[in-house]
Amino acid sequence: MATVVSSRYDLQRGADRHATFDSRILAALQQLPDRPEAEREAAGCLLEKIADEADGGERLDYAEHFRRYVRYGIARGALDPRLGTFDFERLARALDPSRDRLLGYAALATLADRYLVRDPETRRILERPQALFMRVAMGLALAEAPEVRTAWALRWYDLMSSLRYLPSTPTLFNAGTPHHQLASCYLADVEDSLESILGSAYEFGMLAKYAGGIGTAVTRLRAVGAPVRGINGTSGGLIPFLHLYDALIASISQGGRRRGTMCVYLEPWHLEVEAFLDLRRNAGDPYRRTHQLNTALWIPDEFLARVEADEPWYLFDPAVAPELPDLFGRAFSERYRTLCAQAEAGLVPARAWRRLPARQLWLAILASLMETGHPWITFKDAGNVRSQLRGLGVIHSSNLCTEIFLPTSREEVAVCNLGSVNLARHCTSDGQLDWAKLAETVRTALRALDNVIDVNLYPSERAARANRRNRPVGLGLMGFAEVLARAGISYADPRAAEFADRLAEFLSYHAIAASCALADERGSFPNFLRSRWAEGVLPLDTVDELAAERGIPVEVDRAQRLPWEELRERVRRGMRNGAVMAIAPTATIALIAGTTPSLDPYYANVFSRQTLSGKFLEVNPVLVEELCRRGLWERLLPELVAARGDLRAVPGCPPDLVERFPTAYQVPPEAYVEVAARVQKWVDMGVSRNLYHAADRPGQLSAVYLAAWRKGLKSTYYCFVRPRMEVEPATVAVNKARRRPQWVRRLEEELRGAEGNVCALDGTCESCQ
Amino acid sequence: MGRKLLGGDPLAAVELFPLSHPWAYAHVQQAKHNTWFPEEVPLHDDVRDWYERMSDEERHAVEMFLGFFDPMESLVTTNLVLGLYRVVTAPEARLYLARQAWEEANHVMAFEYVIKTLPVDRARVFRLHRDHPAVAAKEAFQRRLTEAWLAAPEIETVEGLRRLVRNLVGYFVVLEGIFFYSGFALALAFRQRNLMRGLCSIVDWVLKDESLHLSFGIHLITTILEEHPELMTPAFGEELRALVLEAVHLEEAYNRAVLPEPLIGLDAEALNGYVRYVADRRLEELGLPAAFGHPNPLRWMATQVDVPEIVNFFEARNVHYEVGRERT
Repeated sequence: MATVVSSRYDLQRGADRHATFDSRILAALQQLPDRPEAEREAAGCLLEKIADEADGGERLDYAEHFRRYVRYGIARGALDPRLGTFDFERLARALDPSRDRLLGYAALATLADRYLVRDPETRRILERPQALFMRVAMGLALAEAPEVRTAWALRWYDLMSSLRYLPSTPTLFNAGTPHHQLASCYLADVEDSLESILGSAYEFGMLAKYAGGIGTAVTRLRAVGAPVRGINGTSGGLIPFLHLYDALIASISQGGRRRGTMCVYLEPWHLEVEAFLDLRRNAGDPYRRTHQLNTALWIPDEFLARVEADEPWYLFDPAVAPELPDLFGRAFSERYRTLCAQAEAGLVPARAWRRLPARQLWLAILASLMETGHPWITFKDAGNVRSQLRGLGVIHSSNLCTEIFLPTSREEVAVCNLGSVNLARHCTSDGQLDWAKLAETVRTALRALDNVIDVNLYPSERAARANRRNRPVGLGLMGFAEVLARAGISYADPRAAEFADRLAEFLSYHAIAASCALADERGSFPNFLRSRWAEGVLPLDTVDELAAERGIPVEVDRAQRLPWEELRERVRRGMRNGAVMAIAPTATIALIAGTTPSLDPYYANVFSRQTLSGKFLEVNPVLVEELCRRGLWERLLPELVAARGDLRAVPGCPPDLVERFPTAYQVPPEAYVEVAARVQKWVDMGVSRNLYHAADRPGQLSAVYLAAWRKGLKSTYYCFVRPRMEVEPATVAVNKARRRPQWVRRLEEELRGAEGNVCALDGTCESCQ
Repeated sequence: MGRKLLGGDPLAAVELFPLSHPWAYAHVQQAKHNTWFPEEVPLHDDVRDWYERMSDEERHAVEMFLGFFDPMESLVTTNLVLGLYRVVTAPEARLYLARQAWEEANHVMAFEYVIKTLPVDRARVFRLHRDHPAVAAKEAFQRRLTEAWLAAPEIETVEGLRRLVRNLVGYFVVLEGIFFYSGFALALAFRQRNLMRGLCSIVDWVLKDESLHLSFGIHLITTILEEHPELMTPAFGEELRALVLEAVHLEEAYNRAVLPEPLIGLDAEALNGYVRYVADRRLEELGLPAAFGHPNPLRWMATQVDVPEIVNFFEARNVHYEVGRERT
C-alpha cells in the first residue's frame, strides 16, 4: 500500500505542527478499508494533536492539563465561573487517560471539530476529551448541593467517559460553559397573526443560536385568499411565511458547530397541504420552496380511516375551522364531519374548502416522501391520547426528530432535554446484556437529566415557564443493532422485536422508578396532580385507551414481565418528571459512543456516513470479529467493498453470516415498524423511527405507514429509499463490456417483460405498450 | 435486433416502441430519476472554508478544477448535438443523447453557480481553458476529435465509422471516463479533510450523471463494434489504445499543474497513479489490454464513492433521493 502523503511534505513544513499531524492522520486514514487497524493509528494521532493544541505543545498529564484548563477557561470566559466551586484535586485525579482509547477516529474528529471547548478569541482547542466529560459532569452537578457536587460530578464523569450514557449534543456542547443552554428540543405553536409569525421568528432564531432544534405547528396559519382584516386585502397564505423561516434557520449556523434546524408541522386538512408537500421539491418557484426547513404532517386518525375506506377528504382554510388544531381523537372526527357536512350544504365559503379522494392525497404524500424524504409522517391522535400530560394541554406537533410529544400553547413553548443509554456498553463478553448495570445507568442518568431543567439557560420566557411546570426529560437508547448483532440475532428476526419489547420495558420501568425516587427527594413536578401519572396511569395502559378512542384494535402485543402494579402505586404518589422517555435518533452521540444510532440497523456491512465533521467509513465491527475468528477477513474484505456491503453478493460468504448481517434494505420495513411498536408500548413520549424501503413506487409504502399507524406508533422519521443505480466505482474493477451493472440489467429485464422474456419486438409485450 | 443504432432517417419523428436497444432506454429512465439542480446545495460552508481554512495551494487547485470542468462539460454538449445526433438515429439512443445534452448544460450551470458563489478570481477561472496550457491541451485534444468527425461524418465507410468510434472513445471514455474521474478524485480529496462539502455534494451528483454517460458510451461503442465487426482490427485497437494513452499524458501534465506542491492528503503523483489505474479499467472495458497494471493508490476513494452512503440528518445534502417516480 503506497503512502500517499510523501515524507517530502513533512520536511518542507516541519514547523507547521498542525499540518504534520493532519498529514499523519490522513496517511493512516487513506489505508482504510484495507488495513482496519489504521483507524486506531489515526485516532491515536488525533489524540496527540488535540493534546498538543490544548496544552500549547507541552506534554502534560491529564491532571495537570485539567487544573490549568479550568483556571484558564474561567479566566478567558470560556467556562462557567461556578466550576471553581468543586473539589478540584479529586476531580483532576479521577480523569482516566485510558478512556481516551474508547473513542474511535470518527468520535475524536467529531469532538475536535465541534464539541471541545475552544478559546473564545483564538479558537484554540482548550480541553482534551476526558476534560470534556468532566466539564459536562460538573455543569450537570451545579444543580446539586455544594457539599455533594464533587461526588455527583465524579459519578457522571464515570458514566459518560465509559460511554455507558451520553447526554444530547447541546448538553455536551454547553454544560459548564457560560452559555449553558442544554436542551435539545423546543416545540412551539404559531398563531394566525403577523405578530405571532414574526415574534416566533425572533424566538426561533434565539433558540437555534444555542443549539436547540425546533418543531413548530403552523396549521393555524390562514390559507391563501383568506381575508386580512384592517388592510382591506387577502392573505398570501402559509407558504411565503415558511420560506421566511427557511431563510431564518439557514442564517443561523451556531458558530459552525451545528446547523440551525427546524421542522414545521401541518395537519393534512389545511387548504394548502398540496403546496406544503412541494416545499422540498427541487423544481418550481424558489420562493415557494424550503431547502433547509424540514416538513412533517401531523395526521389525525380521521384521515387514515378515510384512506382505508377510500372516502373523500376535505381541505379547509383554518380561518373557517380555527378549532380543529385543538381537537383530537373522537372530538376532532365529530367536528370535522360537521364541517364537511356544512361545506357540502353550502354553508362554508367556496374559496375556503375543497374535496378530493383521501387516497389521492395519501399517494401524493407518499410520492413526496419517496422523492424528497419529506414530509415525515406523524400521528396526532396517538400522540395526544397516549400522552401522560393529557389534560394539561393539546400537543400540536412533535419536535425536530419526531420523538418529543409535549403540549404547547400561546403561553408555553415546550422544552425537552435528552440523553441516551449506550446498550453496547452494557454487554457481557458472551453478547448478553448486563441488566443490573443497565438499571444503575438509568438511575444515574435520570438524575442528570432532571438537573438540566434547573441549570438550563432558557432562551425565552415561554420556554422557561413550560419546562418548570412539567419538568419533562427524554431518556433514550443507542446501540440496539450492535447488541442484536452481538447476540446473533438478525434485525429481520422476530426475536429482534421480542428483545426490543423486553428492553424497552426494562428501561421504562427503571426510568419511571428513578423519577419516583427523585420525587421523594425533590418533590413532584408542579403540574403532577393534573397529569395521568397521578391517576396511576402507565404508558402501557394508554395502548388500550387508544384502541377505545379509535374504535379499532391497536395491533401490538400487551405482554409484561416486571412488577408494574407495585410501581403504579409509587407513581400515584409522585413523579419528578412529567415525561420520562423519548427515543431520539442519536445520530451524532452514537458516532461519539462508537455504536449504532438509536434503533437504527447497520446501513450496510461497509458504508460511509456523511456528517458535518467529515465522511467516515464504517465496517460492521461484529462482522469483522466474526470473519477474523473464522479466518475469512483477509479474503472477503475486497469482495465486501465490491459488493457494497451486501453479504449476498460476496462469493464464498458463509450462509449463516449472510442471514445474520442483512443490510438495512434487506430487512422488511414491517420489521422496523414492529420494533418501534414494541418500544412505543413502554415509552411515554415517542420513538423516532427511521424506515428503509426497497420499494420502487410510492404505493408500495402505503401498507408500511398504515401498519405504523395501526400499531399505535406516534410517529415515523426519515424515509430512506434504496437508490436504483450505483455510481461507477473508483476502486473496484467492474468491466462493463462483459458485466453490465446490475441496475442496467434489472431495468432491461423490466423492459423486456415481467417474466424476463425477450421482447418479441412486435408491439405485443407489456413494456412496448 | 430490429433497428440499428446508426444510419436511419435523421429527420424522422420518434417512434420509440418496440425497443431495439432496451439498455439505451434503461439509461433514459434512470437519468430521469437523477434530476437535480445546483441551487439545492447551499455553499455557505464552502465560502467559510475558502476564507478561514484553505491554503493558497488548495485554492489554486479548486480554481483549476472549476476552470477545467465548467467549459469542458460544454464541449460534450457540442459534440453530441453537432456530431452524434445526426447519425445515431435509434430513437431510444437519441432520447438519451438529448437528455445527456441537458445534463451537460446543467453541469455547466452548476459549476457556474459555484464559480459565482465562491470568492474565486472569476475572470481567471473562466479564461483558464484558453490561458493555461495544460487545460488548453486537453481542450485541443477534444476539439481535434470533433473536427475530424465533422469534416466527414460518414457511416457508410469503414474509415468513417472508425472516426466515429474514435470520437466516441475520446468523449465517453477519455473525457467523461478519465479526465472527469481524475477531477472527481481531486475534489473529493477536499472532503477527506472536511473542506468544500457543498462543492463535493455537487460532485456526487455530477458523478452519478457521468457514471451513466460512461456506461451509455461503453454500451454504444460495444454495440457499434458488434453491428460492424469489420471495424475492430489489431491495428485499430492499437490506435484506440494510443488515443487513451495520449490522454493519460495530457492528464498527468494537467495534474502536475493543479498540484505543483503536495496538498495534505493528495499529491500529483498519487493522483496520476489513479489516472493510470482508471485508464487501465477503461481499456479493458473496450476489450483492449491494460497498459499500466499498477494498483490503485487512492484506496480512500472507496469511502468517498464506492460504499453505500448514509447522510446524517441536517448535516449534508442527501443526494440519494430519486425523482419522477410513477404515481401508483
